[in-house]
Amino acid sequence: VKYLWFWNFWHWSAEGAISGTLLRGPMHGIAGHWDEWFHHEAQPDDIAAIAHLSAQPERQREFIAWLVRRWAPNALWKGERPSARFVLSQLAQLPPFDEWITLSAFRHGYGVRGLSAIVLADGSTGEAGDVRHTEAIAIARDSAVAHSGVVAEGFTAPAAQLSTPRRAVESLLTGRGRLVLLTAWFLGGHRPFPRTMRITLGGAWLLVCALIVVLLVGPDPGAALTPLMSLLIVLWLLLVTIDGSVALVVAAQAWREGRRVRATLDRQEVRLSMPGGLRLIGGSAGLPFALNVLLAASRAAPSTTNDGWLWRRIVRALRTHAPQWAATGGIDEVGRVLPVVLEPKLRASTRQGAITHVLVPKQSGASRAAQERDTAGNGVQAVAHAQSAPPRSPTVSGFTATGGDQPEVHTCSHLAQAVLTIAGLSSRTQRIMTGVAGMASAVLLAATPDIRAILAPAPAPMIVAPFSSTAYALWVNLDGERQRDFWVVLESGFWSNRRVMMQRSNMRSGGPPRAEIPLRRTVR
Amino acid sequence: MYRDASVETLLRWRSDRAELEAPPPPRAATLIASLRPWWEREPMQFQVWVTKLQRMPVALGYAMSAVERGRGDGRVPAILSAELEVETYVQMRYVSVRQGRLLVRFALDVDGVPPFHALDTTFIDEGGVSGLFVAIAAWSASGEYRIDAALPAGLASTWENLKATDHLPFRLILQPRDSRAATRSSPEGMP
Repeated sequence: VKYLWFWNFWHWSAEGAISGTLLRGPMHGIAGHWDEWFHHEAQPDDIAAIAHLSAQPERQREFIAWLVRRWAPNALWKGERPSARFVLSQLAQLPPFDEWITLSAFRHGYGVRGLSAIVLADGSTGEAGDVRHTEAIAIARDSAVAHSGVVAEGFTAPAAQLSTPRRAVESLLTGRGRLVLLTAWFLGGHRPFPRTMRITLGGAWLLVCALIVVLLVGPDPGAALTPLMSLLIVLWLLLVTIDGSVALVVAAQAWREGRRVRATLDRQEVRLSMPGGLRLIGGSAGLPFALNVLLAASRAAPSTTNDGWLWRRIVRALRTHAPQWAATGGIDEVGRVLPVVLEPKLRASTRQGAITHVLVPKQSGASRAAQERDTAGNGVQAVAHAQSAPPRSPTVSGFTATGGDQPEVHTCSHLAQAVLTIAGLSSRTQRIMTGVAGMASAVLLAATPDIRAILAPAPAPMIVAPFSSTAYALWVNLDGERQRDFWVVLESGFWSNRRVMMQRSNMRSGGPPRAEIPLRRTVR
Repeated sequence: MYRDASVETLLRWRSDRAELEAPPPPRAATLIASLRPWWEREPMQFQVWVTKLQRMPVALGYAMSAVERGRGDGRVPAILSAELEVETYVQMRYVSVRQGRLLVRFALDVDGVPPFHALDTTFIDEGGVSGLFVAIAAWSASGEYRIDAALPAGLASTWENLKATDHLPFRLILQPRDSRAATRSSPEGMP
């Protein structure tokens, strides 16, 4: 057995927790347990093996790789796998691991970079240091002690400021937030199609609109009406089927995946780390905290083969791009992003230099704050939306700005929107196309009776008695289905091509439908 | 003092000077008093702290769904007497009695109070009648305090099966080591 000493330690720790000698489980209490075991319980053979390992960085790396790949998947505690990153970050603080250069990345965190939070220091007007690296990791809850959903490390905060972001994430996974996410994606999110397919579908929707316009305001198509209408309906049905079925599949997958990640999160405790020893006042870190909790939850839930396109895109983007993003904004339990003070925070993000995107609440003055930041902070121009950002021109610097580029400022009003923005799923083109498709569909649905009359007309109505017999009124009663779909042409030697529609008044009074040409004597 | 004085003369001279400057030897009564535990020497202070400790609740209500029923949460009432006096709880994370020695690790988390290098830890029985013994709790890198102390003869057998998850039959008075070093000279683990 490789690294027998570590297994000895782990089993000593687990047995101690089972017997009650140790209060906490072997993972939550690993730091104290190791300290006790290494200094007071380890056998000389164990100590010698550890010393041998500690002597060379190559062997240290080998051990770390073994711990991550071999040990963590096999060392179950109450059915849960221990988090290798958590174990490494805890051990990295203790002898002899505190001298291992290979563990230096774990000495100040978990080695997972999350989304930065912009938290102003006392009296700060927006300095680079106010953009604070934040990271989160989810570990199995310890049933031996009372737990909270989120544990702050490196800072202190009121419990509500930690639990609210978690509840917002829970809502995003299985509650109202999930509906908001799916709706926002449906209305303006990229579809899982290749580019050519997207262009083709967009073109097809434009063709539908063009046909509608032609039929509404164009010249009378005459005999081409039925083929044109058939083409329009077939095309529309095809597009609705494609878009609808794709949306349904993606939504169903996201629905299922959200439930799976939520189930994992329910068994986890999130450790949220933000170095600096701050005591947080105010809730403006709620949005970055929530995004980091979501990131931690996605890491804790091992991906499956059918985890769904939408969540896969979101999770991949969060893991890859989170270090380049900073965020500020309060959050409530259903994921709504609440307004905060913006100007100094945008200034801080500019001065930080490494951040390329900033998420802020959609609030009055967000664009103005971004512009003021640009003119006062760095002399570089940018606007609140990435899509409308003009070319950047690094010119005169008003402050001792360290960054060359301005981070792009993105506004959001809900956690779901923030997630879609980071994942790059928000698309203005798709929003326009959804609008176009919605309007076209609304017109076609409103015109359903007429379309039916064109494509599947009822048999022509028959004239029934009585009918007019005087020269002062010319009318006929009709019998049959859907009389209003028809014009009545009353032809005689005196009039030509006199078309009239059914009269509603006669139908309302209980009589048969009637078509009438009202006549007025002009000469006696 | 002559330049040609021998080393022996110099030593005798220095010894005489030292005897003259030395404080008078303590009296036998003082020596006996210094061997008594601090709570016997400062009974009023001890009683005040004991009264406060007895007011602090320890019973579990099992309102927290995550705590397994029947397992204690390791909380023990404690008074930290540093610059400020704080009534708090320590969490006993490791309790083991082996070969007459008590091995304990506990966490002390008091807002705004940095960790101490070492704490004089006075164990008091639940009834608060008297102190049981004093041990030094040393700060460890894992963020906990560790005690390894010999138990008084009577306790070793009583506490033989004590575990961190049991109801712990003691309360603690914690004093930063430096603040009491001058007033007590009890050896580690002994009253």
